[in-house]
Amino acid sequence: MRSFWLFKKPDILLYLFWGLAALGLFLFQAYSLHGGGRGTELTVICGNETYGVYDLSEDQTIVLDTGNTFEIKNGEVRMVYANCPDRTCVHSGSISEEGESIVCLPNHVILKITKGGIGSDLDAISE
Amino acid sequence: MRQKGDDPNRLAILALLTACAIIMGYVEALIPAYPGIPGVKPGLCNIVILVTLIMYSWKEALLVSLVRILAVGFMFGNVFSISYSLAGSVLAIFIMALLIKTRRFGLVGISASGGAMHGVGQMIVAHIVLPSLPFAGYSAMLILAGIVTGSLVGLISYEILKRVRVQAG
Amino acid sequence: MKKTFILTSIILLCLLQGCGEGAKEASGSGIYFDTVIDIKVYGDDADRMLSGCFDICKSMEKTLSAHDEESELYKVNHRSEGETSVEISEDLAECISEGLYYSEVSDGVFDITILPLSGLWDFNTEEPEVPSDAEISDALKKVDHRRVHLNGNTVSFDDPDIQIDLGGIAKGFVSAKLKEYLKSEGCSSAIINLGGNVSTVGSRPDGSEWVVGIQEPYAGRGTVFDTVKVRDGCVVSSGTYERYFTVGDRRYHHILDPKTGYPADTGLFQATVTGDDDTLCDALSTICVLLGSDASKQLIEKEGWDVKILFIDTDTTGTWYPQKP
Repeated sequence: MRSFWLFKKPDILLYLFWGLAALGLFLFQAYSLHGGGRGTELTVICGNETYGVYDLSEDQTIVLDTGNTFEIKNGEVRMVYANCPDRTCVHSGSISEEGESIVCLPNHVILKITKGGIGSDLDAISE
Repeated sequence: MRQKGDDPNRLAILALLTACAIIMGYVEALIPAYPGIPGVKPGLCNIVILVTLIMYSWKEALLVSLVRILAVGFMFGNVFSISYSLAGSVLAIFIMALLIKTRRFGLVGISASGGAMHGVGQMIVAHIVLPSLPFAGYSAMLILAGIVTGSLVGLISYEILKRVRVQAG
Repeated sequence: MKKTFILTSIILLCLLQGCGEGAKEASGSGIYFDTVIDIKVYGDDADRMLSGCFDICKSMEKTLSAHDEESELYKVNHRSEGETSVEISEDLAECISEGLYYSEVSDGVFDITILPLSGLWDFNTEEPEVPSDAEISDALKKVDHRRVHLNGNTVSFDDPDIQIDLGGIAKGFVSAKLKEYLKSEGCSSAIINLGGNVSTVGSRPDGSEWVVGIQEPYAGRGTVFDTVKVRDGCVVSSGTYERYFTVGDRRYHHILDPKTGYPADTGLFQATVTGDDDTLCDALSTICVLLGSDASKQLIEKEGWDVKILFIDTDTTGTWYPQKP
């Protein structure tokens, strides 16, 4: 049997080390999320094919073949133009969290944030 | 396992420790839900592992841990929970054995580091299984939880070891 | 001793390695049947299984859609004047047979021949209109599931005006097919979301239950009213909030009562059904909104269906029947 102690002064160093490690990881996570808004990647699906993957940290406006136009600004995505009859996608506002999406059913366009955000602890929503 | 295995006393105590570890796993499985983050558990088994580390060495601790994980895993878990536990335990035993060897640290600090390392091990497996998880933030939470539960484990282990030592003379 | 530990370490490593590779994740989205389909598959062969799923969606759309002009059902609905019976594919026959079954047990409250009526109501424009009474009573004459007969793979119609719309069960039928396919491929973890119909295979990759939220009616998208945990089961919601328009102070929603021709008014905003049979849950969620909670409970008791239902009434108060899963 080895000798043992409940607490020794160097233990403080161990706590300090792990505390700093956790803090560092938190900061890293916060930074990497902030760096790209709250999610980092936007996947665009057009006609059931992946059209492209965009970085949310780069502000830009993109026009799809269907005429649908979306805008990435300050890490948020929003559909600014659609030529379909109901224009639900234009009215559905902006998205920024992982798992959120904007859909234009008539033109078969899906904008979906796929990576990087904290996301939801739900696997899906029945609606 | 070689000459040492002939010592019936040691064999009996190791068997007892393994049984304790499995019971601890059962006790943990009985608690219906843990608040907050998935992956966070009180880590009662680590009491037994730490006691084994002090009484014997990392080899015995690893053996007890391995038998425990497989037994508890097959009873209450699945292949995934087994792999999480394995990775966590191996890393925790490694760091704790190392810290014990230096003779500079107390049980609380050793055990807290074990708890934190357990979290790191789980996250490494989680990263392979579910690459979409926010790795860094989640690790930080598991490390913090590991420090808290680990300190508690250290405290309990100290009380146990104190009594074991008296018994052993 | 040394050898034993080297051996143990190797076994440990192999176990870890094996598990890591055993749970690859593949996810994809697409639009079929006018709904967004999200599928996430875990397993050795996740990518291949995922594309297999979308292949099924594609072929099912070409079979079951009432609106796609190239689909088999569209051709059946637009048969030539004198054609009273049509030979159809196995899948379509199976789906129509399920549809007729639910039309019968619900006593026509759920009716797969509703197409002439639902065609009158357009919920997808910016300036929707309520159809006139004359139009509605005219359309109602063409709605009657008892005038469709299925014999093996032959569907026959008593009337040239009868048209079939499988919208009320197609999603459930397709998700059941997807589940069947995934299970035959040995998949033990997948989640399928067909436009809000959530269906699961096995459990989450870590072995825990899937957690599915239930949308609160008329609240912002993603506002969760309640959550349920499922393993291998599905969660399907139907509600008046899904598609609707307002004229004056009246709200007109898309769940149409084939007895009146107008949107159902049974004191319910929503019904969410969870159980193991995807097609049953899909049909039943619509039937519940059409029948109201009391009549629905009677029907479920009579048929002995093993389901759990959340009724949300027009005060947005929820009640689970028989109890929350």
